[in-house]
Amino acid sequence: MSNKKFDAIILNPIDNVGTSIKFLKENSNIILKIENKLSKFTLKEPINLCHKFSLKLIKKGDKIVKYGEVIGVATADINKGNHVHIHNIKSLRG
Amino acid sequence: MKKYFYGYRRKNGTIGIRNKLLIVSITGLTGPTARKISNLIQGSLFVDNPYGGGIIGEDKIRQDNAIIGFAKNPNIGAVLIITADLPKGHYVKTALENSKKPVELLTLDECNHDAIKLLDLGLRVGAKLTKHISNYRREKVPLSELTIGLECGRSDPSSGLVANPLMGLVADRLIDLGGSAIIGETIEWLGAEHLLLKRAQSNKVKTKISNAVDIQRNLAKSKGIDLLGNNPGHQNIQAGLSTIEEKSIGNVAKSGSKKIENVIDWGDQTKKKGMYLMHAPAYAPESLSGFSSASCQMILFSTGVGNSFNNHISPTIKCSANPDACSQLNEQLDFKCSDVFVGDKLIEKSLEEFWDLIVKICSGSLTWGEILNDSSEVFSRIDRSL
Repeated sequence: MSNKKFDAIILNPIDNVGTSIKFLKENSNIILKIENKLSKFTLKEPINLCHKFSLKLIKKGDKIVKYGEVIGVATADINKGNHVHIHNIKSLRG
Repeated sequence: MKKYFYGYRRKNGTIGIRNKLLIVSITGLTGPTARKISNLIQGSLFVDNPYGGGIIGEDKIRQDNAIIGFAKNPNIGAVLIITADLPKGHYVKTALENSKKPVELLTLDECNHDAIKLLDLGLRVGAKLTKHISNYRREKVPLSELTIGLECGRSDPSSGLVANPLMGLVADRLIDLGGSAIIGETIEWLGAEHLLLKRAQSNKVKTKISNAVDIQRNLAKSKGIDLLGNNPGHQNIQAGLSTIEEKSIGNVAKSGSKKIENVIDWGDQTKKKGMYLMHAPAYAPESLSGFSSASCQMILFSTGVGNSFNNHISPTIKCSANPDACSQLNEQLDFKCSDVFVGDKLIEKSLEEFWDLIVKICSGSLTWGEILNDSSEVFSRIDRSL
């Protein structure tokens, strides 16, 4: 990984969620790392360490993609920069 | 990169990374006495089987196989079997003959049902076995002799992002050297089967993988269990894992990238070298005992927020990439890789450090779990007792 500091990572270019590597405050401007590139992003909600947030508007019924793999489906519309967790996504398998 | 370690060569050719007396009580009645004997003999490991003779059918086969598996583990130098009844003890002793290790059998019958007499006899016999195995010496052996179990527990997304991929790199390297690795926790293949199926070495293995996942998924369904809250469990959810698919994709990362040789059942031994899947429960104590019964000499165990449980027979190396866990759990985590998670270190560099630690522990350096004795063995149950 790069030595430059970042706040959250995107594991695969096709992902629609990012993962925080530290606690991130509401409305904070953060640095995202994807592969070896860094970019700016604004969060809408506070995100705990290791939790996920939406990289774009995700509509109810859309698939949630992390690691380049489907990890579930949205149960509500999720705005860009919002927390993505069990309150707005569910498993397709469990 | 180190390719050798110092281990104990057993008479049947297997290599132990530890040299322990196993005291195993195979009937419920003898458990408390056998525990006392083990408490009094330095370095001995105790395995209790409180279910004893009540177990029937497929459960009985599993239990007997596990007792024999634990005793056969190369980390065990000698075995003291303690039982109420002779026939079952005799069965286990006979099954251990081809391991060529010293095995003694004591029964309550021969002590006229006097547990204090059994304690006296057990102490003397156990002490002699310990004296005997203390003469064994380590020698230089290739890492191809090693089989590792790969586990994760109290996982969070840092496990799937860093700690498990790191374990996967270790597994790949070990298999390249001619060694073996096993992952279990079938329910945590659910949603990541496609990643395992494309690595299966045959269609037969593919079918076994799919069937194993179906069995566990149907088990949950038939009992009316919603996996959310069960797996991922409460702790996983709090730590940021939202669905079984997310957890599974992170979970299977610890299996690396090599061809999957076969799927074995809980506690069964592998027949060849390479990467294996164990169709087994996900709950850590039961999963880990599956590995030690399958002759894994060592277990690598990743955790997100922390997990203090270790296997008794196979030294268990705890690693985490969670920055909070790494700063707090100093006497639990043997290897910390949060520096990779936050971008301060390359995973390739961390792999070299992890590898060096693994080789050291193979050669006798202790894990925190061994020092603190946070370990035990459990038997997997699938049915009711009679």
